[in-house]
Amino acid sequence: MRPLLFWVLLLGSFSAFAQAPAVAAPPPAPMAAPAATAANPDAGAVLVFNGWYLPAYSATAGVSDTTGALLSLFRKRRYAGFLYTIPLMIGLSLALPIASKDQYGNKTVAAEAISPPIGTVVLLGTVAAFIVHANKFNKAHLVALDKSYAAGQPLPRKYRSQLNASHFAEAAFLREALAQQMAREQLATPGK
Amino acid sequence: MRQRLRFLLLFGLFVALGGTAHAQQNMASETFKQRLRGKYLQNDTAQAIITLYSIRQMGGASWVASGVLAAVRIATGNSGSSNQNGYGSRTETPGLGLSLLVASPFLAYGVGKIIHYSNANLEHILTDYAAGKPLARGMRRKLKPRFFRLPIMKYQRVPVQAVPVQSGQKAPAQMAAPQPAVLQAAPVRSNTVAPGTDGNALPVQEAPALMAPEQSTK
Repeated sequence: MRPLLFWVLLLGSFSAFAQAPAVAAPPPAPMAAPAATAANPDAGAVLVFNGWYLPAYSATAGVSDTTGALLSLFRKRRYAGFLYTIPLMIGLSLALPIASKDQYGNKTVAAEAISPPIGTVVLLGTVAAFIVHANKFNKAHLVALDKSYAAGQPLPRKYRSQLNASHFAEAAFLREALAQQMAREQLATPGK
Repeated sequence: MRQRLRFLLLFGLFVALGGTAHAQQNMASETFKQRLRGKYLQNDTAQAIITLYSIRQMGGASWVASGVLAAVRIATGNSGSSNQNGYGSRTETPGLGLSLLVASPFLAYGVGKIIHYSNANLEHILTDYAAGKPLARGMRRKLKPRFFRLPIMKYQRVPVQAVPVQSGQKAPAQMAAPQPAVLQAAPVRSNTVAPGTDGNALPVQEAPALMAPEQSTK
């Protein structure tokens, strides 16, 4: 079975230009295992979608769901990585000679490219930026961030500054969906 | 080249502008369905109806999206010339109107699905069902067993291991343990270790029981 929510969120997340939505998300329901997170950050943590690590979170006043928002941020940024193909294509078509067909179907390749130096710079910049991007939003780095955050260290500025309301809204949605799923499993097991 | 650039720009604009609006709308729609799920959390049939509707909505959206993409492709990509057996021939673009005409049945099918399986319709059906009305025959026929088996959200519990996770914190504790073993260490150690083992023991026992239905749905 395809995980439905995965596709739902994927289809709804061309997020490179995403702004804060005006969606009023419902308050996140408490998770199954709120206790013992301080002792062990793995307690109550789950893997969702493609093995994304999501620690437990208990909704208390004044404590926002930072780990959930971090997951949303990482997920959106990673899926938005395909947008790097656009500068890549631009760089390629600047750096390499372009083939074209004339009116009679004869294929001609241009003698020289439009601008090899600019194209090379664009290409190299794109590749370098993509490596930095993929490294920054690495799944293993998310796990490390979550663990250090559970240990009481503040988030690095480069992640904290990028969290916005849409990430917290998606986190609340995820928490609620998880809580519903766990509640349904609790309903299902005593009857059997 | 110019055509391709235009297509690229169009596509980029589509992604950039359509993306935000679509994401917001999508989130609102999903939150609406989530609220309905919470309202009828105990009822399997209501959950299956919501699952059916969200799958059909996605199907409608994908018909529309692929229809639009195909129309854009037909309108922009087909111009060009070929040189076969020495005879050059030039094909013209069919134009946006014709390509939309070709794509219109598919677009209409997708739009029809989206309208028929709308959130308002879903709420209407669920309200009637909760009030005790029997489901319509068409709806009963559409509810396949797989919609009852699909989970709201698939997840997997992280197996809790005491040693590797806390190795950084436990190593000094174990190093320190032998020295004050006689004086104070016994109560301190029991205090520090016991919550950890308590917290660990519970999820470990829960894990297999909760994983079992999870794996059966795969």
